[in-house]
Order: sequence, then C-alpha cells, then structure tokens
Amino acid sequence: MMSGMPDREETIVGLPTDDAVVAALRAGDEAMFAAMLDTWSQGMLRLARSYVSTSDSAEEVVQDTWLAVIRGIDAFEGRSSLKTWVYRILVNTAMKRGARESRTVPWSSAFDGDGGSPHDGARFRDADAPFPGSWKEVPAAWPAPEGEILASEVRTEIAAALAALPARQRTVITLRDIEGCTSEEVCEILEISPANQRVLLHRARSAVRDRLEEYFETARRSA
Amino acid sequence: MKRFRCQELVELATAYVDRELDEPARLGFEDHMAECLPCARYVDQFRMTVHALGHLPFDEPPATLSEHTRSTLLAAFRATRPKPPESPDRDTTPPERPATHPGWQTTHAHPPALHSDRPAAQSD
Repeated sequence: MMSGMPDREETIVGLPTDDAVVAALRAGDEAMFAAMLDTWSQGMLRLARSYVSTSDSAEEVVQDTWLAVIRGIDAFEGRSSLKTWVYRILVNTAMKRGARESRTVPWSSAFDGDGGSPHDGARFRDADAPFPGSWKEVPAAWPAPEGEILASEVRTEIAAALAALPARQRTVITLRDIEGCTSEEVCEILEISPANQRVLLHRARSAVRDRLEEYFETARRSA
Repeated sequence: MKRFRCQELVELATAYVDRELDEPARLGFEDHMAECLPCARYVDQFRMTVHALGHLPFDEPPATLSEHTRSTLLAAFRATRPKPPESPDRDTTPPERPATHPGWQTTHAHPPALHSDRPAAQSD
C-alpha cells in the first residue's frame, strides 16, 4: 500500500513490510522503532505544521502521535497500511491541537465553510452572452516555467497561499501534492469520500494557482 | 467524446492532471484544449502549480525530530514495550535492521485496503 506514498526519504532508507515492522514493534525491537521515527517523522512534521501555529507545537503533535502508536500498536489489524493508520492518528491529534489554538475549525463543520467553486463565473461569459461559459479574458502567460516557478519569491507565495486555505483543503493538498499520498490514502486518513477529496484538492490547487497568477501579474506590471 | 465549455473544463483540471477522467471525457478535454488557447494555458499553469507543490524545498519545519524528542520517544518505547526474554525455542536469527541495511527498499505487504483500522488515539 505504501507504494502510493513515495516519501522522499523512502528512497534513501526504507522499512520492511508492514507485517515485519508491526511484529518487530510488538516484540520490543527498538532499532525498528528508531528506523520508523527517522523515516516518517519529517513528513509528519510537515503535515502537523499545517494545523498548528508553531514548529514546537508540530513537534509535540508528532511526539503525541508516536506515543499513541507505541501504546496502540497491538490494536493495529492491518486493514489499512501502517502508514495510513499512523497518519490518521496524526491528523486526529493535530486537529485537536489546532482547534485549541483556534487556527482551525472542527473538521466536521468545516466543509460548508470551504468556499464556493474557485471560478464561480467571474472569469467566464454569462449564460445569456455570446459563447456562454467561455473566458472573458485570456489568462496571462507566466514567465519561464520551470526555473522561475521555483524561485524563492514564488515559493513564498505558495507557502502563503497554503497557509490561507481552509483547514481541510490545506490538509488534502499537503497530503496529495506535497507528501505524495494517493487519493485512496487521503480518503482513508481523513475518512472522506473520493468525490469530497477531489473537490477539496481542486479548490486548493485552484487557490494556489490563482495566487501565483496574481503574483506574476503584479510582477509584470511593476517590471 | 464529450464537449466542454471553458468553465466546465477548468473545473475538471484536477481530474485531468490526475488522469482520473474517463476516456470520452479525456478526449473531449484534449480536443477542447487543442483549439482553445486560454484553457490550454490555464491547464498548463495548473500543472506547473502542482509540480511546484511537489518540489518545494523545506526550510521549516526542521528536517526531523529534535534529539530530545527522539530520545524521549525511544525511552517511552523501551518502557512500554520491554523486550521479552529470549527463550530456547525462539528463532535466534537476528532480525534485519534498517540501521545496518541502508539500501533496504520498502516492500509492500498489503494491497490497497478498503477499510481502515481505528486509530488508537481516536477514542480520547
């Protein structure tokens, strides 16, 4: 299952199969636990950071998650992958913490507050106009794609766009596009339907693209 | 083959770049883009955005757990999961460990699961 979660660190140091890892943890194999910590904590910190306001809080969330894993590994039944199971604990822990910090709204009530369709009409011709549903204005071209888009100013814009997203959109886009989870994994971790997952991801990506569009437009005008 | 208006096409950009459209929809999507510069440009920018997200360098949060947290967790592991004493009939072959096998690749024991385990932390 974890093949769908191509962690960057996983190409350097991998873990054996879930069965082997779980058996080792249950048997008190500390080296295996240390390997898990070192392989997964980075991605977990990134995801936790999208819920809480400081790096220290994120580290506490990850620590609490690992403590829950230590206590709960006997209850793991292998119906999801081990990593999905760990990430669900992480998300639940981070949400509680984030809610306390008032940065996020409770998950269950967040969906209605996720905003409408990112392109709800303003950019397109009205139904009674000629060519309804087509662009009013052609989106401006962006500068030199690959190099430019990874420039540090652009990365700052992306980070700001992510920070401004509603919690659920931010979580989905972090898991999918930054952590590299599959949509199936995200649905399992967050307990949402595939349709919900796709809507949240699309809104989040659209918001990030729009932010970059604004940034490039401003840069172009001031050039 | 489906036919799309620009506004509809833009709403399907995620499904398209993630290859989740069925064949008629994908063909209609690509047919539209071939004739529509604004949509082709939008989808291109959408793809660049997704690409950029996947290649962000991370200054923050720190690369991994602090040494303090790491040792706290290892101590908690030792305290909660003491190693059972070796018994004579136990397989005495030392288990392979990632620390001594840096080239060890992940293998995957589980097919994609339809149902999930309940996380231990969810009950509190």
